[in-house]
Amino acid sequence: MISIPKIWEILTGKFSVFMQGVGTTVELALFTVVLGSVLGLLVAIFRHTRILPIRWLMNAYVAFIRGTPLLVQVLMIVYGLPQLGLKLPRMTLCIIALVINSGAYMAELIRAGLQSVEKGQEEAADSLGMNGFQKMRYIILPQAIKVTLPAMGNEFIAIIKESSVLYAVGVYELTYQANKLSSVNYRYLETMIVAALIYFVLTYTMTKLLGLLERRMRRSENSVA
Amino acid sequence: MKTALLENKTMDNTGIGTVVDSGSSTETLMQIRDLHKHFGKLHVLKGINLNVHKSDVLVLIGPSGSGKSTLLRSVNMLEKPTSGQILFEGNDLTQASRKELCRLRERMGMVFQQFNLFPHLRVKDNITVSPRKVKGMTQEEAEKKAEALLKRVGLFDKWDEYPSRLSGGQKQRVAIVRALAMDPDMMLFDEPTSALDPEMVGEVLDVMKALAADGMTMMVVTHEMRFARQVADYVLFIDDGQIVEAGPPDQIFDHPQQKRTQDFLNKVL
Repeated sequence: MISIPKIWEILTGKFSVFMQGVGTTVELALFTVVLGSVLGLLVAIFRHTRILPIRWLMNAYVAFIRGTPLLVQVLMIVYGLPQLGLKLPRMTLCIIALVINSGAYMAELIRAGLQSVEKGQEEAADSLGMNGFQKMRYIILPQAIKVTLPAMGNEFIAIIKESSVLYAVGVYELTYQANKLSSVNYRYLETMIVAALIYFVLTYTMTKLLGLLERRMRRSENSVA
Repeated sequence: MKTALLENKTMDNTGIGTVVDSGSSTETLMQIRDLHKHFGKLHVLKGINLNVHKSDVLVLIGPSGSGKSTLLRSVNMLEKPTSGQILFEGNDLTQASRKELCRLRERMGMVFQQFNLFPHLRVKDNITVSPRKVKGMTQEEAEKKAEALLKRVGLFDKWDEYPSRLSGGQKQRVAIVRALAMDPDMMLFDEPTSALDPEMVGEVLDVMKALAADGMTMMVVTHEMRFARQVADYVLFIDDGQIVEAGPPDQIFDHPQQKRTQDFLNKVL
């Protein structure tokens, strides 16, 4: 039997436990989205380089990450790196795993953004004597990033949800906390409903906030022409 | 007139054929030799030989698909020629390293049919970004120059606007200013009025006329025959990847020698 009052009781009774989990989850997601964007940007740019081996390496990285489960990647990094002698805090290892994962997806998003910039922009920059770096830095990238921002917001939301796989390696994020609680109170359904509701509130708020931001950006940007 | 044209055409000692030369007394700014361009199997430029003298205004006319835009775009290497030479102020653009090419392009302004203004930058930044980042001008210098140029084309009130807030004619005038801000020795115009509403063509042509009067060396691909007649020192009729006929505007428009030129002019005039 599912008990609605019990859901409320679990939420209020163990609020601080859940909030600790939320804190960890948001921390993971924030670090990941920021560092993942930087990594994705670098990868996207290096995929344009004239040095073929680097290009191949970048393409292989993106293909590999997109073609393998996040959980496997997490286990590889979190247990694998210490085996190689890299003794880092668990949390740091988790962030590394998420960033490596997210970077590949971000690289794809940024690539799409770069491709959306009209050919004429590059030609105009060329005709003004800009070199490859100047062209990228002042003309192409700013336009590409603008196009990519909404998708990056969605990626942030995705990370909030996907970071739940980290419960498998014992990081005290939201799913781990909920799972631990339910193994004590034996109210699996109610406890997980609380966790789900918290995830939902987080992602739904983020979606709304991003929508608002996007609309404001569109209003101020005066359309691309 | 006919003899004048013949005199202006001189045999090149390399044996690649007739070099079209306006015969102006000013120094030669650009020499194009046996320029070919293939797009896959398509042979778009079939051996172009042309001398461009300082302060000359060359207008390129011809049917669409004739290669005139490709020729203009090859002049600053936006299209890489398959073979041939483009000597600009003594440097062969086709052999230039990446770095040298940037240097050479600084001295050649280009104006596009679709304006290609940078949509994320305000008018002032569109104009100053390259003088600052490429030529290393200070912001103050660059803005002073931009201000003066914008005033010349009557658009100083658009200083802080984004391009999307401008009309087509205004965009193209800003694009011309952006190219001029680099102090080019030569300006290339690729159908600068083709994307404009008819009522805006005049304002852009006026700016170009003023530039020509100031002695700017210009190569213009256009369908504006009246402009060609008024402003050109030399008109090149291009068809099927070759310069079919070239001469002063009076001669080309009033006494075309070649059948293909006559047919084309009959259609457009």
